[in-house]
Amino acid sequence: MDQLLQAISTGLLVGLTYAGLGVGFSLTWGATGVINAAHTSVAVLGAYLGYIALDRWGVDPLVALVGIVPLAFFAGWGFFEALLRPLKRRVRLVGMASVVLTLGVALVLESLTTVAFTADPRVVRTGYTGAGLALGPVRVGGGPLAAAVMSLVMLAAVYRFRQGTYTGRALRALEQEPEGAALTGIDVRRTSGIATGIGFATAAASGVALSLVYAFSPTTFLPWLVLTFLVVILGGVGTVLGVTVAGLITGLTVSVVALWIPFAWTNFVLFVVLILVLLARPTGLTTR
Amino acid sequence: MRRKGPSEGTTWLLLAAAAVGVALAPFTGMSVYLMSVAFTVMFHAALATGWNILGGYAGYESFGHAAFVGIGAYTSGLLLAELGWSPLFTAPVGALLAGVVALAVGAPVLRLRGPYFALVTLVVALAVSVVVLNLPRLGVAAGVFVPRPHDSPVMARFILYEAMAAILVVTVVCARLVERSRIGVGLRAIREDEEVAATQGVPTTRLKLVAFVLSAALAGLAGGIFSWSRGFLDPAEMFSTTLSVLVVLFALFGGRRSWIGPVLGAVTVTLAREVLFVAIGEHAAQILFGSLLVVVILFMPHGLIGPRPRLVTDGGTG
Repeated sequence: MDQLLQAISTGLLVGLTYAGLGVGFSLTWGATGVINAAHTSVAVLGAYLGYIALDRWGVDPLVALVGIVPLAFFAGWGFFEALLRPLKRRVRLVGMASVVLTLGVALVLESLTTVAFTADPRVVRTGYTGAGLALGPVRVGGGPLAAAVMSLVMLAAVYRFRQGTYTGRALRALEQEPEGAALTGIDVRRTSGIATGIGFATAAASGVALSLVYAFSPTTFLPWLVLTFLVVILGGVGTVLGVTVAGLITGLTVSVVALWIPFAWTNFVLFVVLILVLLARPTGLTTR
Repeated sequence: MRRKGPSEGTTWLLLAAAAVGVALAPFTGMSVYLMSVAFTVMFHAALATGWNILGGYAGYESFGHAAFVGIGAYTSGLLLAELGWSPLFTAPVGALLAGVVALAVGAPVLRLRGPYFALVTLVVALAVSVVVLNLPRLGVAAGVFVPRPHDSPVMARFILYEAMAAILVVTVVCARLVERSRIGVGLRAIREDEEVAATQGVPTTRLKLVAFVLSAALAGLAGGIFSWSRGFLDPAEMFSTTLSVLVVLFALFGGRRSWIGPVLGAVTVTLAREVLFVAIGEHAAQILFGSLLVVVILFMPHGLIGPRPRLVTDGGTG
């Protein structure tokens, strides 16, 4: 029983972090139709920036987010202007074309980070990643807790932005009906740029969060990308709540299932869950 | 389906001549290195052409093609390592198994459209590899040694070359037969507009499944010979996500309208990678290669062979 409680609490914490990783991917897909396979490459870059801040200057990675998040946001906006907008003007079905383009970018980033930081796995060690909280029978690690709190704040901020600001509502209009949105006077180009910027910013911040829980290296982008796909396909495109629920389900599945079956099979269970969900709901759990 | 250009008989004759040329090429004194490069080129060409049957003609782009390569690779590799049966005879068994898995997986997965299909095939491929790697008793996750085709390295390369050449020919013939058949017409109708195709009486579900199974079986066939060439069943190599992505790239780069595109794409991209790898090193090559992907998709989205004829008008937005 204690074991189960422990697994549930760990699952919920990492689940929030997974949701944070997926939310920007889902948002960019919804608003621009672009599937950004380089999403988790940005997360890995964010993790490295946080690591450098701590290693070189002794700045806590979570504090370093003050610099990392704006940097990633404008990098994302620039990415949209430089590559995604030209792509959208040239091809009819942007979804598949964008997968290929961003996979190319992911390959470039993987090699660049390998050259810059070597292929050695890195671990972030701060005062709180080693500490832990005892809540009755359950022990909560400082790293996962900090990561989960940061992700929760981020998810809430994105949610508030989408519901309560003009640009956020413009973004939702774009998801529902791009042409209609343009007709009502929404600046599609600017809104798409901002959506991509938010995608990058949340990816980089989630990279920092994940670096508090897991070791990472330049090749980590692939397992993180698979995780992102799982969460977003399960949760749906352009929905913060859906992605959050999907992230929690994913985190819980992984940690609870590991109690009964060998660790190597946990991913398989996750894949089966995904396929079963898609059988019932071909476009995700919460899609309209 | 009559088109301008050489007649049906002439084209088959040209194809047969090309096949004989490829088969006889080693007798001109090819080095072991050249034969092994040619082997990889033909392996990639066969995979891309097989992938294109569903990915190109029907527009269902799978990012999990390596799963079927892996199934074929492990089937033939294990039958050789355990029972000593030659992959020349067991490759079709791997193809059959890959086809059966595709049949089981295809029924649910082919209901998904566009990007959902692409992402889920990638996930399914990972799931298949998890199953194979954790099957009890086989202990395959640690890797299995596969005996070489022949004691002499030259003979070994020669056997592998001819086997892969045969598989490439089989694949191209299959792709061309599909292209020219009612199945091909149906698949292209699905690519243009699946709803319209369905209302016009095209059995869309069945056609997609046929294309998926055929495409998977051809990958399993090639996989059987591939693992033979490596001498070792390395899970990361046999179920490589990179290979799945490369296959898509070959077809995209060459053009997906007919079988010529994927073959051309596989040949050019594989040779370019090989040369870059040797000339400027692994990381520089990958950076250049990734940039190439970006440039290709931006400036020639329809590939080397050029745009396909527009069957419906393009109401492109933004």
